[in-house]
Amino acid sequence: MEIVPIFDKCLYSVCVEGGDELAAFLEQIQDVEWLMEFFSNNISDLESGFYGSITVSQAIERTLDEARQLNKKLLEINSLHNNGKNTGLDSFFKPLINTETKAVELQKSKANGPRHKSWIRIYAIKVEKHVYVVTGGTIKLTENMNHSKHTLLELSKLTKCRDFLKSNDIIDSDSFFEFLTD
Amino acid sequence: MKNSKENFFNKLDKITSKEPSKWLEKAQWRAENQAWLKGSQDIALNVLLALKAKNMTQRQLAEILSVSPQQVNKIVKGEENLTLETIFKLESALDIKVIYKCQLAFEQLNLKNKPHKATKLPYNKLKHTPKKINIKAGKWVSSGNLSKSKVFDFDSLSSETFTPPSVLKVA
Repeated sequence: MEIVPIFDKCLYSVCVEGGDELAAFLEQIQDVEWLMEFFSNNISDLESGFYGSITVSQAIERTLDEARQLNKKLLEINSLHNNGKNTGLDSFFKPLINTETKAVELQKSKANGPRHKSWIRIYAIKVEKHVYVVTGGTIKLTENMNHSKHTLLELSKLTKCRDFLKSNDIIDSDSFFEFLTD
Repeated sequence: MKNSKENFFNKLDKITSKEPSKWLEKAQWRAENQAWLKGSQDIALNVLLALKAKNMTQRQLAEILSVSPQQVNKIVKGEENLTLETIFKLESALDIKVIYKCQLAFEQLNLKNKPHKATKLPYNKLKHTPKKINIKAGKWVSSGNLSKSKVFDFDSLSSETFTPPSVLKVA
């Protein structure tokens, strides 16, 4: 496994064949053909009512619209990073487990899309304050990640990345201590 | 503390690829081309829905259009800057409409009620003050005394009259 910097010394992404997880996910959610296939394959989850009554066409349009906003948001973060300002990554990403308020080493994290009640998710491992490694992303149509194959896959990618970082001793104990005492 | 930080990033560097991510280049391109990309995505969605409704494959569509299947695949991804020729071919092949005629009537332009789009010329800058303006085949021509205000009808191409509220220069 390798990682690639998205914002140097701030946001990284796990490498995949021909690119990285973040770039590949951003590409997928702006690919109409991919979205059509995704929502058609997950039609029962889409029609479960968790996000109200919505057709495949509406779901595609909603995702494309949100993907445009996410694209804009990431460019804004990039601009802040280039100007040496706080990127706000610690508010962009939240603990994967909503109730996990205590500091956790190599914490599994998630970022929601910009829309209210967004179904877009970017998953990452929090290495230390302001430093994250993106492991993937998906469109989460169910309340629980254990209820669909594609979200289960994202969970396993998070675990795999955390294990990899641990095995390479990527834990900043000082920063982690600061985090604990904040 | 500083050493610890350096040590931490050194460890990260060891597992970091030398190949940079392509996300920024693509994200900037998307932001710069957002307007036509949205149109391309709308067309892609219409094409995919039509293919589904007609139970037609992308390969079959490619044959009808006399293009490669790869070309059709690019279209349905919503990232192609399509020519009008391709769009009309798609419409014909799939019996769909993705481009609609502009239905805006001249009346809707409502020139009289949009003074914010016009600049009033100072009186002393005018060589003469035309009392009335006549519109003939889309051109503004100074004319004699006409009192009635009418809306110009482009379809009939007839000479109609229009009395402006004041002398205006369209900004």
